[in-house]
Amino acid sequence: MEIWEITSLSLRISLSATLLAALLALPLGVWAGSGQRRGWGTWFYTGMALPPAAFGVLVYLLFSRSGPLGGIELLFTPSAMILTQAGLAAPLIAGFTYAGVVARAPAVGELVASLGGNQRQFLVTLLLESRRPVAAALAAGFGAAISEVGAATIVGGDIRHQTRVLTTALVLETRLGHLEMALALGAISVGIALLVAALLTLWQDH
Amino acid sequence: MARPLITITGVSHSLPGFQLEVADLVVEAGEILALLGPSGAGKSTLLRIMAGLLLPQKGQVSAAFKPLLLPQTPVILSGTVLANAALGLRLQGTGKQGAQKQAQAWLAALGLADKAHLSAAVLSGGERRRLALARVLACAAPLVLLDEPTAELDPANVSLIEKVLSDFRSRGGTIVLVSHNLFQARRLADRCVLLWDGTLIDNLPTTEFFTTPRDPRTKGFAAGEVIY
Repeated sequence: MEIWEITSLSLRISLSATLLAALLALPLGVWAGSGQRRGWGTWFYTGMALPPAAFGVLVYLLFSRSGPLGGIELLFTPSAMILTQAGLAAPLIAGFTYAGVVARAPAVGELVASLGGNQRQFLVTLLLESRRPVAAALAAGFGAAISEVGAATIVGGDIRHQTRVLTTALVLETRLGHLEMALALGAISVGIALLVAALLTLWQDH
Repeated sequence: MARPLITITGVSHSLPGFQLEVADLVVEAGEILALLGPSGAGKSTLLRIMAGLLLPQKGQVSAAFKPLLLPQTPVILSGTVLANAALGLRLQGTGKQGAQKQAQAWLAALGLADKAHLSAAVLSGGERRRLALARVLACAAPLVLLDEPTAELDPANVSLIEKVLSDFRSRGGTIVLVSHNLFQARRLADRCVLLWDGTLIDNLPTTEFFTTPRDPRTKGFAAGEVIY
């Protein structure tokens, strides 16, 4: 049942990457948006347009034998794929969070201050009030991570039983002419995306 | 003389196309002070300075308490009416259950008890204004600053809010009230202050303000002869 192994590895890598990206990008997006730091918004939006394959090459060079971090021997491992996917998801999460927060910050800030609240309470209230854009940010980040193929191939190598994930397997099966299998892998990807989107929608409406 | 809660001395603040000048103003404990004046006279700006949301470029504002402000356009968050009403109490550290219990009582006082568990998004404009007032009053602050709390409300709700404000004052609360309703100022306020083009030009007990004002602008304003 190799398909379940691939699906399980895909989920593990993409969820870890999204979590890692969110830990950094969510607070950064809230910080930039709440302080109306518009220059940061420009950087987030630029990061959203980063070509995944180009980013994959960068990570490859970083972790290759002759690269500055070659000694860690991370290349062609799930960890390298997690780092790469996190790097691609982070600008999306930060950018969507920033866009949602920057519009709400003045009104929420005025409200919290007029009721005697402090800066920490302002940030918490703002984050809670921005649940919908934050959910969209997480969905976009996870979507970017699970659907990524170029960078995953470059840093993961599509090694059977080690770094083969849904997208790289889908490309391989298509090249081999196994279109039914390729379609099945695609359907599993969409199913996972649907499940994550449903969970995020439940959370945002809670 | 009653205890001063806010003392304003030599305050000056410039905004694009507008200059606020208030040489001297004291808000005393237990009174309702009405800030009156034509639109654009500086009432809301002065209220924001009193609330500490705007730092004046010159002069001093000293407050015995951090006053709570009901802004002219209240912000209502997503979530239920009750959660919105309890927000101020929650920000002040009251536990969830205690905050909701107190908030519920104020919602009832302002005629919103049956809407407590609805989403705040479904409220009408007037209901949102009453909810925002409940949110401020629930905090039991000794001093509240209210920017047109009865704007756009029907007569029945204006009457309800005036009764709530009178009760709040009779329990020792202090109110600074911005209003365009001269009848309301006359009914509620102990003192009336007239702001004119950014300058405080009169500060008189209500009866004197409406019957024997000295400044001709106050006379015209109190007589309803100023179009604004």
